[in-house]
Amino acid sequence: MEMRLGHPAEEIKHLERRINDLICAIADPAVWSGGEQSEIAHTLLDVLLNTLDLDLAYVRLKDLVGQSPIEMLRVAQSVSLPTEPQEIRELLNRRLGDDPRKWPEQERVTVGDNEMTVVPVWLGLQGEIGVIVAASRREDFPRQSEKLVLSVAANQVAIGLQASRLLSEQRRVADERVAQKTQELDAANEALQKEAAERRRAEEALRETERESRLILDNIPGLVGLLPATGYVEVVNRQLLDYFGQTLEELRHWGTNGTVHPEDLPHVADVFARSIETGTPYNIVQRFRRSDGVYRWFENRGFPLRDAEGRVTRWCVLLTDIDERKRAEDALLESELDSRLIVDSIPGLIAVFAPGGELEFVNRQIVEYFGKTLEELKRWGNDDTTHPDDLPRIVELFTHAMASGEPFELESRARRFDGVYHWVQSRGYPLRGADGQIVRWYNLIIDIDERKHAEEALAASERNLKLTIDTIPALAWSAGTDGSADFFNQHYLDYLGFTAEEAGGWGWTAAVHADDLNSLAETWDSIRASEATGEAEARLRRHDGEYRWFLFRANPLRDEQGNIVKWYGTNTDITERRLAVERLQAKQDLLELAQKSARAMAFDWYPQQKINTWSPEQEALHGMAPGSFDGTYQSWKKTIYPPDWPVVYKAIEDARATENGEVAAEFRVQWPDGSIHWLLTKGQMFFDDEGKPLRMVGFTSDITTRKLAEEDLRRSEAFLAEAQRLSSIGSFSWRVATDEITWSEQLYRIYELEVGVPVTLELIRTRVHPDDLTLYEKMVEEARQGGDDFEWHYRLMMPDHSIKYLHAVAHATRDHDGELEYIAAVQDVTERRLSEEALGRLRSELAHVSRVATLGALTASIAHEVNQPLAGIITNASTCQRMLGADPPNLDGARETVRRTIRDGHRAADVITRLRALFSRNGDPSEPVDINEATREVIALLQSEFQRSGIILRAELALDLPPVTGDRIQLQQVVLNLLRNAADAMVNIQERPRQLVIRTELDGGDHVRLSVQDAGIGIDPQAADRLFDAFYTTKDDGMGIGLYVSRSIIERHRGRLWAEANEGVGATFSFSIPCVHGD
Amino acid sequence: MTTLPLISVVDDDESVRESLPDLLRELGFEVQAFSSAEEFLASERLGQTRCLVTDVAMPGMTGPDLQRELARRRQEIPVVFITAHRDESTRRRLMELGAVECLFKPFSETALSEAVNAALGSTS
Repeated sequence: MEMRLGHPAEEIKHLERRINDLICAIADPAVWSGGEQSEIAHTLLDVLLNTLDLDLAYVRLKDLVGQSPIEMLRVAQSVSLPTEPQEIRELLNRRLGDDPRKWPEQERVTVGDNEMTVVPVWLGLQGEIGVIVAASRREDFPRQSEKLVLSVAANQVAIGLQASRLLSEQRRVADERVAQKTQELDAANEALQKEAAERRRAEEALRETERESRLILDNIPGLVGLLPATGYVEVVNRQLLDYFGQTLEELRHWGTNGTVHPEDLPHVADVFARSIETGTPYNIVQRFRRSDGVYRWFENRGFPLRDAEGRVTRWCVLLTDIDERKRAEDALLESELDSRLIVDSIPGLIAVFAPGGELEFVNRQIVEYFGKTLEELKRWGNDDTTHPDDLPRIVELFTHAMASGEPFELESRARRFDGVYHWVQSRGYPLRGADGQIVRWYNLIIDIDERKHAEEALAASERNLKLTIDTIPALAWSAGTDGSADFFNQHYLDYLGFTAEEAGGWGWTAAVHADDLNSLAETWDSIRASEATGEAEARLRRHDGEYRWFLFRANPLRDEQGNIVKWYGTNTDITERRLAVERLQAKQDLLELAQKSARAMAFDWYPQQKINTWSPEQEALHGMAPGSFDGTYQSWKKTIYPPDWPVVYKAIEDARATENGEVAAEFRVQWPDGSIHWLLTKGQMFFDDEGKPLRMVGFTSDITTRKLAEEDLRRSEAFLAEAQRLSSIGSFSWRVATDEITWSEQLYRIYELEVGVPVTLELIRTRVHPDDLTLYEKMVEEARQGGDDFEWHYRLMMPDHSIKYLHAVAHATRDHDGELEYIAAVQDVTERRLSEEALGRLRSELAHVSRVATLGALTASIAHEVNQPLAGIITNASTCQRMLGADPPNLDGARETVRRTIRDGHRAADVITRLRALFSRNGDPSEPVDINEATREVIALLQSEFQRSGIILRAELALDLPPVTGDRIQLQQVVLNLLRNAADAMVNIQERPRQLVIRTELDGGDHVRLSVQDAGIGIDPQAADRLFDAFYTTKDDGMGIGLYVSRSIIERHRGRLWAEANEGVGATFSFSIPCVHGD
Repeated sequence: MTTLPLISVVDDDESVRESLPDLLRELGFEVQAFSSAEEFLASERLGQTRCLVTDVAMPGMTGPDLQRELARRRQEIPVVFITAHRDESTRRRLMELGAVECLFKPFSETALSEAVNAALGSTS
């Protein structure tokens, strides 16, 4: 390698060459392909040493993961230098420090015998990979180009090293993975081996378990076998083999080798086969042959073992020796058999069933009764022994009894030996062994045919009875011993219109007439108490509401002991009979009444015979003592009150004149004690040829009471008429159907018609005021149709055109024929009406008077209002006159004064207009009134007066007040009154402002309220009630009608006016009236 | 040069304040009108006033109040009251208190003239 120094161009060429070399060297893939860091380092050092003509090249690479640091050294052969890298490292460390990254860029260092310049070049940005040290003895080392080559080389190497490191890292990771996989495989192998070992152990354990279960089987103190689903004998325990003394193989032939008792074999084989086939458990009691050849009784139980899907996998068979128990049962049966003899001798039908229900034994009587043998009878469930209609029911009940073990009792028809079905009752009782198990059923059968027939006959006769009862025309019923009804025949129910439920118990009493209910209930109680047949009469309401009389007859029904168990009864309609009796009774009563109550006495008298044929009663009518009448005409005549003799005499004469001699007279008799009595005698007189009374037949009655009553009536009628006249009330009755109208006298007077003139609707019509005619006709029409009470006000117009106001109140009634009739009172209310009108007029007069009074009080105010402009007018006119009279005339001044005169004239006219409106009587009573505006006008009127009186008026008038309906002028008058009253109340107030507040506001949304608040003398609480009375006043010059009139005005406006004391001084008067749209 | 006697008119009614001074001037007086007693009392012409013609009822200070106030101030100005309120008892009371005259509106030119002249004469 040659050395070139100096010329830059050469230098550049030199550099290019070096770099090319370097690049060729380093870019050679072969350099890097190995990828080992040491190789890279070697290559690098060789290249650098040769390329840069160095004396020494050293590299140190920092330790990597899992690798120790690499140190390499190349030394030019021409110099003697240490050949071991660590010597160089130690030298450098000693000379330059431990950390190469802090070494200077270049340093003169003595290495061995030579002094040389050392240049460290770091690998990696911060020297994190390592360091290259280049050294040369040359003075000019390192030249610029050499530095460049060093740094390029360092860069390349760093990249190569990093790639190499990455590669080696990847390789390391790959190796690790392989190692890991290998480990995993090993582990898997081991697991497999373990599993295999486990399996072997498990198999062994299984075998062990099987051995153990076998041991268990063998040690069970019973005989146990395990069979596959097929029923093939697979495993049995040792005890079983021992017991049977057979090998397993021998045992498998149990069906043929006598293991099972031959007698039991068919049954056992059958049950076993069926059980295996269906998978249901079995339980057989059978005999097995022991090893010693003895058969013993066993309970052979088999039950299936199932897998998760429910399939039978095995059968487990358990054999239990029950020989002892069986023998005990057999012994029992033995004794039973003994008892069969007894059973046979019982005169009843006895059957014995096994616990399963099969017929085992019947006694002789049964055989005879049915005419069948035991074997034949065993088929009773499938033949005609029991009536086909009963069989299904009986089989079900019987099966149920067998299963439940409960005693049973059945009734069915059984076919007797002669083919005739008889009703039998069958009672079964279970017989239980010592262990409580049922060993037998005993069944007692009784022929109940006769009883059954009797019952049926009874039911049939009951049906017939009911039919009979329902068809008989009487009302039939039955009741319990407590008296409450439990049966009614259809006829009865039809009569009442009740259902059986409604009538049942005591429901039927709802139809008993209220007047009869108590006595009927009492009679019914006493009948039951007497326990004997009894009767009562009462009215029962028919379904259509009519009551009819019935005779209730009740009969007791007794049982064999004679106790009453029921009551039967019939009700017979006795209405007709009863009516007949009543009629008869009525006649008798009438007679008696005629004789006694009415004091009417019959007589048959022959005056000429002078014989007393009068009864004591007849004598008593004439005030005679019993038996004292001598029978003569004279004695009779003497008793007659003399003034009435003409009446009697005329009656006798009249009788004589008539053909049949009928006589009738009302006359008075005078008793010896002087008392007068009215008598009525009616009868027939017979006369002799001479015309003298021969015989009188008739009756006499005392009519004093009637006469007095008639007199009273006349008197009270007179009273009524007088009362009507006095009260101006007339009355009438009006039969609507016939238009018969009866008037009282007073009504005639009211109508100004002559008393007694026949009254018709047409006649009335002529008097009705023409304006009320429509009303009258409408009223008549409504009264005809209605039938309600009615009341109406109407007017009459008399022929002289005077008006009468009438008020009629009519009451509707029905007479005994059901015809509508009005009874009415009619009052002449003309005077009242007139006085009301007069009162109204008076009130309005009063209101006017009050206005006038107010006017009087206002005179000053009015005068002031008018005088003010008048003063202006006169002053101006005077001025004008003077101006015109001047020389020369002051025309301009005069014109001005005339203008003012005219203006003041208008002002005066305005005042007058306002006043006229205020005091005019012509107000529209129902115009919308703006209260604020009306109030302002009043304030304007009073302003000067208030000013004069030193009154401070404050108006607080609410904005947007709705108008009120009313008479503006009247309302203004009220406001005026209130303001003036308030002002007057403050006249003598000196110690405080005479303040007056007038306020308007909305009151409750539909009213407007105006209040006047003063600071005056206030209200005397004791006088508060009288404030609004007419003529009440606290003022010396007041009339006391202001507030009275104000209140009447406000009330006419449907409002109210009131006063209240202020919290401080004074009082507040307010009124509140409805708005236009308020109500 | 003789100065015309000054007559002061106090009335809250404008029509009076317009018409009355004109008439008084025609009658040969100098006139000054005031709308209230207070205005008059505050005026510099108070001292020159030879005769006071005043309304009785006025807002604020009334005519009689004004008369009392003048007496209190020792301003001896003759007073003629004018009022639209015809009330003899009021007139009597005012006269007793020292008024020259009390005229009821409407009054005649003659009555006015006599009253004013009487007032002027009373002090001369």
